[in-house]
Amino acid sequence: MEKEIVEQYLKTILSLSEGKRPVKTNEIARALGLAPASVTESVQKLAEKGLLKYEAYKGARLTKKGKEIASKVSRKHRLLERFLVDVLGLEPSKVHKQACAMEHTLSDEAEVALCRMLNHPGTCPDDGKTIPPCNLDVWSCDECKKIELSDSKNWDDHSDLRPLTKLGVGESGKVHFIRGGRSQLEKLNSIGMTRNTEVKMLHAAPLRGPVEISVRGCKFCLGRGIASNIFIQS
Amino acid sequence: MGCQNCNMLDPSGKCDIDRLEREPGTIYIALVGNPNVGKSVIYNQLTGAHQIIGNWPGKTATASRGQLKFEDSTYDFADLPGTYSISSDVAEERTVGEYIAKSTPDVIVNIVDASFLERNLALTLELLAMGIPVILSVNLMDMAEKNGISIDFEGLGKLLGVTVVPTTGLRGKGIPEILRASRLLAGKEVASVEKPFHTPRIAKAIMDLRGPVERMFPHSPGIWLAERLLAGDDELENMVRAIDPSLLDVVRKKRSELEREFGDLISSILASDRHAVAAGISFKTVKRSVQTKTPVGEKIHDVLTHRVYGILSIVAIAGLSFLFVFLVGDYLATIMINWFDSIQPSFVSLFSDPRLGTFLWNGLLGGIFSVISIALPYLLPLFIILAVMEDSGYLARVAFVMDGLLHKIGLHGKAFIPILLGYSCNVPACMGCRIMETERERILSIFAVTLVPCAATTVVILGLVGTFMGIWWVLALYMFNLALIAVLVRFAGRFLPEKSTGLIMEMPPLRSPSAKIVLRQSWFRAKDFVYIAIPLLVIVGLFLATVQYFGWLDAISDAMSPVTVGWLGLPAMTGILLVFGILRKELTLVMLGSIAGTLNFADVMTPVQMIVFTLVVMLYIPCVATVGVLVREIGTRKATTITLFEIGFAILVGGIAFRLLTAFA
Repeated sequence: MEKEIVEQYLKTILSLSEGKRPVKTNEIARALGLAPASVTESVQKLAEKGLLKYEAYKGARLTKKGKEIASKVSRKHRLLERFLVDVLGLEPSKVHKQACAMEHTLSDEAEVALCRMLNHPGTCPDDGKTIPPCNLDVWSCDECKKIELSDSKNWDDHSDLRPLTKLGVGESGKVHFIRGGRSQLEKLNSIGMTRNTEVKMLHAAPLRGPVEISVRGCKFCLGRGIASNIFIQS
Repeated sequence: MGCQNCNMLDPSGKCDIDRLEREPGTIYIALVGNPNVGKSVIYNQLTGAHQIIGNWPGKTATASRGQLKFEDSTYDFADLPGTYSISSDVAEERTVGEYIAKSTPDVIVNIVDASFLERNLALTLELLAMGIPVILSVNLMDMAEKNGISIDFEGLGKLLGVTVVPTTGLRGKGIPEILRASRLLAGKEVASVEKPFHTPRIAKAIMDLRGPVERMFPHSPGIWLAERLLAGDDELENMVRAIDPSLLDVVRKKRSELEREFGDLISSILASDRHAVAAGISFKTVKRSVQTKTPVGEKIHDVLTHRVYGILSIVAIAGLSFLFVFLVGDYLATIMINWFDSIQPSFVSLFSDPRLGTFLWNGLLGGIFSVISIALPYLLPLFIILAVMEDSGYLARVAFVMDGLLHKIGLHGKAFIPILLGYSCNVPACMGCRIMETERERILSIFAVTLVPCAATTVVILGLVGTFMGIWWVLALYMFNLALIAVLVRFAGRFLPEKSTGLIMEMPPLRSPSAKIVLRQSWFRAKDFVYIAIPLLVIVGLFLATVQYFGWLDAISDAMSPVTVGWLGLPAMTGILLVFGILRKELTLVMLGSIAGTLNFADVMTPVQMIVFTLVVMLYIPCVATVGVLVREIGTRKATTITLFEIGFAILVGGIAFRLLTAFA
């Protein structure tokens, strides 16, 4: 299978599964506009490569490796969308296809450079979905500006990170990375939310509203925009 | 070199905060603490002021000052906005730090929440480095005791090297002790903190910088400056660069050493370390008795913030509040109106000329009469409900649940409260918009409030459209109004610079409200309203009575007829009605009765005219009392803009509605 097709499959499965649920081949076929039979065949091939686990009737579930590739591609896709809209001034409704075509050829270094140039955006322009974090071993975007991209020890595996908003009620995890400027970071620092602090999700308000979390024994409400840029390691 | 007024040496010689103008013998105290720990309650207790208090964070927006004489000494207090830190780059947090550094109070009273000592102490540790005596007021002791928390005050004082006073602000407990301790400490050279409150590795880095920094700024707290320099404070770096740039190289080296060692950003390392030290101190001094069952408050909280039950409870509570306000208000208003009506004939008969009597009655007493008989009966119960919601902590839950919806029109959760209040009276609702954090959000929510049909407008909607056209038309008007608010607020948001910070708010605890606070708060709000409304209503009332006295009513109606008749398609007499509506919107309906000479309005207006007239009344101007409060809250320029816009917009919408309805009817 070509790299492009593999990535397309993995990205689609990740966005359909929303992190947890196994995805049926029919759903994948519908999303990609392909015949179910050929999808089943491809999924089996991907399972052989160890990128996903497939059980007939239940569906496909990404492995850690598969998830890593998928979130990398979604990140590139969404960053490219931002680039097409913010810099080139294209219509938000028209950039999806273009980004789909470009995402597979963008190198990791170019991806980070793009992210820096766009000033570390948090969401993609067409449907407001969170852009997954990069693989740099940094704890804030301010730090990213200082480091050398070619140095391999600055890179880290971030496939297990989730935005705070994706934590289920009652679930907890450790803060790993906060996207955004220095003042946002310091504000969160001052309420005691620093790297490796344990946070617990208490409530999520309706209509993409804020979340209530507990940190160091205190309850705080964080707006959705802030919370979706705090990445948690479970 | 530098600014003479400050102990912070600023080479630029600029200083935007004046040093306190000191009276000799007066003790200057700054109240500092996290948001919602009861600073303003203690401030009110101390100075007899009535700062806004309530159970949600962020009420005190700017510093206020007040004085007190106690046991032969004068004390001067500054109530500072709540903050979690004084050393970060966040604007509001900087303000507090700079206020302290530049005004150099004699004593800092650091108020902390006894139930959350760990988080509160992180700020205390920063304050201790500033070289000013600190008194730790461990507040909200009643709540902490109820939650089974006990604190070793002596041990806490020893670990921190400060005087510790347990307080319960609301009952005035511990207040005299704070004053006595302040007098003992004031003017004393603090045995300056010998080492920073940090873990050894970081403390060493700070101590290494302390010497050179102290030589550079001999009058400033060395440890505090050293820590800020290490953290990368831009302003401080610039000052250092002007004196000895080589020090910056040393700082940069230390910073990158630490960053590499801890694998983190320096500001985060420092914050994280402070919180760790605070956690250690709290661990040594706080004992919690284990609670086996979930407190009732927790369960209620779960329901109120639930994604489904939360919304349902808002609808239910809002509905019940409405009912309460209308029932109590209607009952009181009827009594008052009957009483005023009964004394009118005897008042008029005091004068030989009945025309003069009527003039004085309408002009002078009319305004006062309308405030007492119409506004206050609805406002008092409303203020009480608002205060209960505030003090119980419910308000913060409403803000949490409604945030998502209001984001869609560019506001956020807290704005729901004043908008809801607007349905009874726009005046207190505009004042309620002070709860919004940013200027942008405050102006937007005030704008939203002025578009909400208040109780007086409801009288017109129900009395005209409701009585003669049916309840469905009334509902349609309300829905149309809601849609207009959403569209207009979104639209207005484009003209205001986007500076949305996003919500970071501590969830205040749920508690049963205190009757004393609720009544005090309602009383001060009512008083505020009366002071604004009565003078305005009397002035406009006199003007209108004069117009009536000289029989100019028809002339005014004629002058307005190009708009009222030509564009809006209304009967000519509505011109003067709309003028009177500026005073009180329900007057449009009352006057319609007397001018038309009939209460069966169907005889004088077609259904289309009723709809158009009601639409215009609903939108055309915030009444004179609202305009007054707008001027006070957002200034003359913006108040004029809003007023003129709404007049123009009402005429525009009315005209379009007239043409559309005529075409389809």
